[in-house]
Amino acid sequence: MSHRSIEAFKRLVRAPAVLVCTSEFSEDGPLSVRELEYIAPAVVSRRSDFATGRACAVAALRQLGTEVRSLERSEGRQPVWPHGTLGSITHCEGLCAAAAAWAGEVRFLGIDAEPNVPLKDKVLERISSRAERDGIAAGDGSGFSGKTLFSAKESIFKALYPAVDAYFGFEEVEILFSGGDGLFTASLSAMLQDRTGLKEIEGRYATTLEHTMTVVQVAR
Amino acid sequence: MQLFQIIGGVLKIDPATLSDQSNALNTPNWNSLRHIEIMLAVENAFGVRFSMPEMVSMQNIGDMRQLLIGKGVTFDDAAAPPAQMQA
Repeated sequence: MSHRSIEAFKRLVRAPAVLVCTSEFSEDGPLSVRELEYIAPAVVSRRSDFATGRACAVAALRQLGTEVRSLERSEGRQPVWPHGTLGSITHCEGLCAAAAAWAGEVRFLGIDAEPNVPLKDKVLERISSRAERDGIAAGDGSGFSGKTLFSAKESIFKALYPAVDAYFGFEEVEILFSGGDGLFTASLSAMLQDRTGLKEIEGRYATTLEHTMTVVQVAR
Repeated sequence: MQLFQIIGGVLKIDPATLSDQSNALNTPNWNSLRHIEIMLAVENAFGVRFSMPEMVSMQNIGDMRQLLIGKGVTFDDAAAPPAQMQA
């Protein structure tokens, strides 16, 4: 069944960005010395997630035409994308993916995938506004759930973090509902507007029986 | 109130396997969503509230314990590593 998630995820990412996605996890990813040191104490499942994510990232970067062999790792625990590129990595049960693009063509890029199981009410309450919860409750038949909302905010965080250069809370982003076409729009807080120059940001989402997936991709 | 018990319950793992050095890297099932669930469970258990900077600053259970102590919380469980790590 994961092939449906893979195909749906691939359709969310548009050229000139590329997405490499797999449901096959392995500990034998292409890791730099610093990444090997970081991941050494990890439990097996975490090592496998990490290595598979890095393998997807390297494959995506090679699709762009780079000859990168591994990613470096910043002091802030973030992957360091090769000069002139940007990207995003996600992994969850049954799905791992990385998107990459040339920074001269894509300004912001963030992806996220989550198992398609309901978000606990208390978690939804913490990560969303009343208006967002009302939007989900109203429903539009598109499958945009609380878990999709969580994923959308994760994708936005990953996309904007390099520009913002600081962790920011779920309340800094509010998803605006517009109509079940696989698109979502989010309004950004004043702080995020200052750091990014954007008032709103758009994304795409898809759901399968197994996963809910979101992509935020802003062109130059 | 036992911190390891609460976190073990959220992660669905044996609390005896947890220590103050436990974190998302060396502990099964601890991902970004579970991290939020842990924070909410701890907030509920101890009657405190974490800010977003506090949530992301916690690198392991020891950090969480220190933050809670700073909020006036006291604990029943020891902060020592589990028995198998002391050998």
